[in-house]
Amino acid sequence: MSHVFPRHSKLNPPTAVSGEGCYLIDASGKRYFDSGDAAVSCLGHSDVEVTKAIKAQLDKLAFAHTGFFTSEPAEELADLLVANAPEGIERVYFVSGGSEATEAAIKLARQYHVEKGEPQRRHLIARKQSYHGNTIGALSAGGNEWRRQQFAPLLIEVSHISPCYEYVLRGEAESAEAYGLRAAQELEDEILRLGPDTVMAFMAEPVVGATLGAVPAVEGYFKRIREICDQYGVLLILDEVMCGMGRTGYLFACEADGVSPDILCIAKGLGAGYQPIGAMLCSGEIYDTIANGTGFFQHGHTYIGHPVATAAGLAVVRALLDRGLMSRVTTMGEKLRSALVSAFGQHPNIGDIRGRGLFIGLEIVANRETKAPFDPSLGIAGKMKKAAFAEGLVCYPMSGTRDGKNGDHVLLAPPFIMTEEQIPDIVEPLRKALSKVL
Amino acid sequence: MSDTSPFSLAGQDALITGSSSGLGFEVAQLFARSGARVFINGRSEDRVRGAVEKIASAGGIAFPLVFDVSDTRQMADAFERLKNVIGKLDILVNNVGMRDRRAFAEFDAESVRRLLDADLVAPFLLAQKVSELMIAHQTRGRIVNISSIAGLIAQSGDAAYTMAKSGLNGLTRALAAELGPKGINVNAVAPGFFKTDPNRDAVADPEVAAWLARRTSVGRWGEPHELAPAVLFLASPAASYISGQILAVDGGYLAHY
Ligand SMILES: Cc1ncc(COP(=O)(O)O)c(C=O)c1O
Repeated sequence: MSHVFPRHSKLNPPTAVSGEGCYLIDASGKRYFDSGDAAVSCLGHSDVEVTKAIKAQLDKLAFAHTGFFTSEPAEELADLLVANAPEGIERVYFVSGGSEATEAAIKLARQYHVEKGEPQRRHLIARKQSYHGNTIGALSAGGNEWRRQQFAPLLIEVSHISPCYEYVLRGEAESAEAYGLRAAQELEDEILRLGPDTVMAFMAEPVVGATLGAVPAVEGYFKRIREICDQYGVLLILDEVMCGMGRTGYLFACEADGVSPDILCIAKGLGAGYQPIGAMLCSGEIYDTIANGTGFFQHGHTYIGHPVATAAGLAVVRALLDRGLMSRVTTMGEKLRSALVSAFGQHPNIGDIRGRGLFIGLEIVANRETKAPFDPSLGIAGKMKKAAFAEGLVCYPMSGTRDGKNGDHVLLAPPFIMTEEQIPDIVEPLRKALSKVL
Repeated sequence: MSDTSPFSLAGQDALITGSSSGLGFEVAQLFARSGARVFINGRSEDRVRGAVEKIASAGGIAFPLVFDVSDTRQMADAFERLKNVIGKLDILVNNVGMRDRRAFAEFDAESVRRLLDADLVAPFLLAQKVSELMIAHQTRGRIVNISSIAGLIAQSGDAAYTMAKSGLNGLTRALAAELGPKGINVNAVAPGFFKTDPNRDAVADPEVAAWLARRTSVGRWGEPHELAPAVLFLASPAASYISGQILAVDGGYLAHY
């Protein structure tokens, strides 16, 4: 009997024993194409450069508490990230994962306003159908009803506006641009409703991952969001935990939207699975306000700025930049997407194929014409996950796409090193899974 | 190209020296398209970066390896990096070649040595490092030296280069003999007249074109993309029983009179 507390007690998962490029191999020798359990493995599972960097760091220094020391890899990684970050971003706060990054972002937003002399700013606005993590603050910010439900009495108060979700929410006669402005208007309306000088921050994923299935905003949406934030002194927090670090063909996903946030969260691809690491980046203005105030961000965990984790992150980001992988993601993304469109573009139950770079979502519907979702009791996403896995494909199907309950999608986030020849390793298992489930 | 094609380089790792532009870049591009992961080498970081970017955006996998082949120290550092990135290597293409067309009488010791360093000592040392790695990993390795028809015949005003390329052909045969039993095939290609950047004046000259029309069997200049397939062939499983050869890629120039 296992003593591990598993994700799900009814699941009896195989034991993963090794990784080779884009594949995971279990104890029986079965190979699985890793098309993004959760968009982590961007360099595949056997990158020698990253593992060597980790070993070299371990041989030098495993750990030194950031209350006393800084470390070489943390300094170098921060330099490299800032050199490539959106305009205005000047500081990096290293944590151990995505939830820690978003949690830290919420606290930093609050402390910034307090130190700036605006302690009345306490409201956070986020979006429905977004996921920002599972700790109490992050879960409060997330807008996924199913994940929140039983914990609701414990959660902090956060307002949720609609996502920018063109496939479902754009009016038939409405242009994409007009829709984007209408969607962004919800932010201004909510700020005004709460009282403009009481709102501290707005948090959003530039491309919504787990809960919507790779949905980018329409053009102009984030530019308008940025304007509204600036107008009311509200901080813009972008959660790029899933969509950042090259996943969309840009090191920072918001580059595609032409905006710079005040606070930016990354994780997943930053460690590429080689180490648990995340980071919260912030503007010089925020940092300086704290530095010139108390000088102390009242936060911190034991393992922030961990030398081995930052050494891994450094090797990963260097690999992303040095190997031309951003360009590769764009090209391979187009190839994978067109293969998916030719395989499933006419499928009666695939309503939408969307995304950016190697971050692609397929929305499953009961009826393509009406876009009506399947009855949630059918558990389509769960069945898809199981069927695709049996066919040797690791992907990320989720239900609740529409409102936390209805709707299903499959999220694909394969390694950036995948080749054109491997496209069938994704398409064929999906095809078989779809025909088995529907 | 499918994995079962005898010309596929799927799963192989290749270092091509001087591959950020010109014929070396053509070789790197073709290798990448044939499934190899390629190390792009050059002295200019920007040019190497640009070449990596081009290959990556075409769906290939490329790594930068900036170093000057004539600098032993830089070569050693780069080799460490190569081992860190991939740990093994299946193919080495010694492509860097320096040319100095001064008259024999005008050479000084310094410039002859500089040319030999780049054209002869560098491939020698690189082959040494690479073969050591190949042997350690029991790789069925390939070394392809980019020689020249000037390694086989001669003209006036090209003494140092001719000497170097003749030496490279000798090195090719010597290494074929010495490394063959260890599983490494060593060959060379000898390009003739190609439309490369260093040849741009001659390419623009109609008299040269007229002369090539008479002197080569195919009657024209070689296009830049026409060299790489010969290198691919010698590096691929298709050439498993070929070693110690100098393959002229010259439109029939050497066979024709
Ligand atoms: C956008 C986003 N934010 C935050 C998180 C939480 O990250 P972690 O699971 O590393 O805590 C996730 C994880 O899926 C995510 O997708």
